[in-house]
Amino acid sequence: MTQILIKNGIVFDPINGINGEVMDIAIKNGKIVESTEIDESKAMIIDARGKVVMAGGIDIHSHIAGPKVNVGRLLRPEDHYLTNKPHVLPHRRAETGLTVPNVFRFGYEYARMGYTFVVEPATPPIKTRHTHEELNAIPIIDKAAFVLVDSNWIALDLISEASTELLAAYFAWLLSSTKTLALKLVDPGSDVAWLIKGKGIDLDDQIPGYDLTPRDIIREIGNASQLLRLPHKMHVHCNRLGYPGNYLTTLKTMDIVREIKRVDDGPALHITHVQFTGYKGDSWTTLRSGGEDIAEAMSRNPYVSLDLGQVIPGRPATTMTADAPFEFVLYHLTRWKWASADTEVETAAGIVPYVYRKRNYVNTIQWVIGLEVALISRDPWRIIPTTDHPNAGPFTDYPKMFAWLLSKKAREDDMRDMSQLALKRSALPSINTEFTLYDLAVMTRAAPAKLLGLEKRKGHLGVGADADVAIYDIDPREVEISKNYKKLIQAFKRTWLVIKDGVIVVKEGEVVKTIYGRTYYAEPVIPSDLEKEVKRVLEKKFKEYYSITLDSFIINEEEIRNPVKIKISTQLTR
Amino acid sequence: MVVTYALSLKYVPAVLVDARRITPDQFAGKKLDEIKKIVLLEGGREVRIGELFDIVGPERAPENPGDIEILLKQGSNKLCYLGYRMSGGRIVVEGDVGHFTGYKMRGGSIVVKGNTRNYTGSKMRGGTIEVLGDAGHKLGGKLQGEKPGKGMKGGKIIVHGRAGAEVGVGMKSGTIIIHGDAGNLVGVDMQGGTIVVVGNAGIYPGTNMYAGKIVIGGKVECLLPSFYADAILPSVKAKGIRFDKSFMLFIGDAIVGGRGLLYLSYEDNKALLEPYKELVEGMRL
Repeated sequence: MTQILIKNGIVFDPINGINGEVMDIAIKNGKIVESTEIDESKAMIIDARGKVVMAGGIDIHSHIAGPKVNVGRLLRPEDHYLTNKPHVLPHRRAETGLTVPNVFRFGYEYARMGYTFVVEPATPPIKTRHTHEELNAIPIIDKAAFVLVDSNWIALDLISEASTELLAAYFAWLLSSTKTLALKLVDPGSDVAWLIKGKGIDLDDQIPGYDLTPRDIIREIGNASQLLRLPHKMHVHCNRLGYPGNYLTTLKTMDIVREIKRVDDGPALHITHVQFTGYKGDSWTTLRSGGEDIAEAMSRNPYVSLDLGQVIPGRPATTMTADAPFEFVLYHLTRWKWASADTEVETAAGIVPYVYRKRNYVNTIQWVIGLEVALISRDPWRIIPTTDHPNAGPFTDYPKMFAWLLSKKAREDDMRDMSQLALKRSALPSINTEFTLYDLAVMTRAAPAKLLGLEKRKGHLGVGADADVAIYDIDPREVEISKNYKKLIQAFKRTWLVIKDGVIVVKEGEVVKTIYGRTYYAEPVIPSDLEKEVKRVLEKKFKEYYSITLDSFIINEEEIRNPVKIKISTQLTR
Repeated sequence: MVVTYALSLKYVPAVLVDARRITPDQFAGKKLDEIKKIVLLEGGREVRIGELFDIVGPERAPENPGDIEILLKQGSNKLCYLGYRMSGGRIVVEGDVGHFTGYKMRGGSIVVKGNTRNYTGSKMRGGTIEVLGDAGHKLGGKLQGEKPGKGMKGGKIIVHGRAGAEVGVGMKSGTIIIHGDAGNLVGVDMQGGTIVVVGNAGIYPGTNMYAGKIVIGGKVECLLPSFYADAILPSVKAKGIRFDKSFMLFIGDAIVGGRGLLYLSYEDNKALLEPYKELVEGMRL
């Protein structure tokens, strides 16, 4: 079998506490092994002298597959003009698209940036078969999906009528039958209100038709996920996203973890794309950044993790979310085009194209919020840099975002083109914090692996980990990154070498081989009597609510390319 | 002094060729050998200009693209993106060309002695395109899916033959003159500029137009009810073309609250415009 020895690289591996040490990494049979285990005469030797070696990157929140990405492709033909890259057979298929690219570009571009694991963060349960079909077609990277549960009628019924154990058992059934990794809440309860009343609701408003508030939903789903001991407990997109003054809702949502009965010390709540929910002020003209308040709340509250949803100014974006009421509002702001869909029983979604402009006051404030949260809280283990692709910017601009986090000069250079009024009203210009490459390895490798509960196999270079390695052509001993951030962007845009599962897939920034990664999903083990009870309840509810039968709903393992089951022993096991 | 590079096809391509690098800007300052090595895409495959064309011209091209003339001795309707973003100079094609001729063009001129296909002069900002034959659909238009106003932003397109549907879709400024007939939906989503059709036009000219001016000197198949009849004019002169017959002026499109001017020949559309005549004359009383 293939043996690879990466010699003399500058290794950043936060999970194993390695910070920029020069050492060798040995790979055998797709796993990382002790360097004594491989035979140097037979191994392929890679000289990584003066280059940075990290584990493959992990993106915890990027809309790469599913029905709404596909509708986005249909909605935006102009996104695909002049972005075509012809195929190079036999190892690379043709690529097209910028904010909603084709499946191949997703895989290749992520690989070129050194990312090897990407999570699709919102899939409606009934449409997850489609999501898996698309995930199956994405080359190179490993994948997983989060399933939407917040406006699901069955879940809401169980929250209001049944015990937490039964709710937990339903979620266990849902995760294993849709082959997804964790639970996602989008604007909890709002899609029910959207369908009935045509508008979204705040954290303590009542959901029409149910004697519940979004607060109850978050708390009860939190309790259920604690009972299930899910690695990634809850992925929450807060209520009132996109409205001025919504940072208060975000702070209140963070405080809900105090009402949840926690079974372990890990984060109980993940607030996603926090930039969109960190607006202070009471109208668009008086908009301010709530980044400082959120960063402060983060430091007080150890049970919350975040991802940024960092805006990339000067770039087109396609906002797509299951927060349908907000997309309706955004459509009236942009007055261009809008796609909206209601998924039976479960959720709704909207898609609106948007362009973030550099000189725009609101867009500059949005840019500031994401960076302020990260730079003020200075907690790389709980803050993941993402652009919520394609909502705040395309994922291909991640290197730009890294430069802003690692270099004050990069921020200052870009601030020149932005709205000076907005900058005058925010704290960002006076923040001097600069993260290091080690912090970057934490934020993009170690922390997301831990948050997803995959820290044994992903996100590090210790013995036994999957051989996903990215080597960047930048020498931190020679290049001072905070001064010469362009070098960083260049190095991270096109990785020098990427190894996926022990196979070299990218060489000098170009894809040289196409392989297909795995799809991870969680299967919580629940006691058989509870399982029977859930089946009995579901059979009745399915006949009542759904247009398909229970058997057609369940996705089989054969439908997934390279499935990996993560068995979870729950609190419910007797 | 203007130098000429004469390009003649070695073989007729069977698939679309992305010829966006055949522009005076790309040739400027290059040696003949370097020009022959410029890469085009034939289908998905890379091909060099020297493999597709025989090139005859001076050993070294001038630095200024304005001094370069490119002469395609034989055209092909597979050659797309000819004159992409060119800022000066001249391209003459003694035959047909394909889609997107003069896409995002900024200056200079393109003369096509045959026909062009769709999106000719799409999103152009300056310069002149003259087509002696017919042009395809979406002449000077925006791309499918873009906002109105993202089309042609300046310059001039003259078509001596006919043009297809959606002439000047989403155009912002500039001039389009068609000496023959035009297809349906002339000036749809138009936000400014001038379109003159000397011949006939298809259905619904000026749909969703916000501003700008459309003159149709021939017959129109039908008209949207969202246009207000404003006046009857004895003659109209637009962009140097004089029509010595009576015209009816409409303002619209009311659907989008537009203030565009639509001139329709009254002589040729008597049956269609008869009812409006009473309205216009009634207003005067």
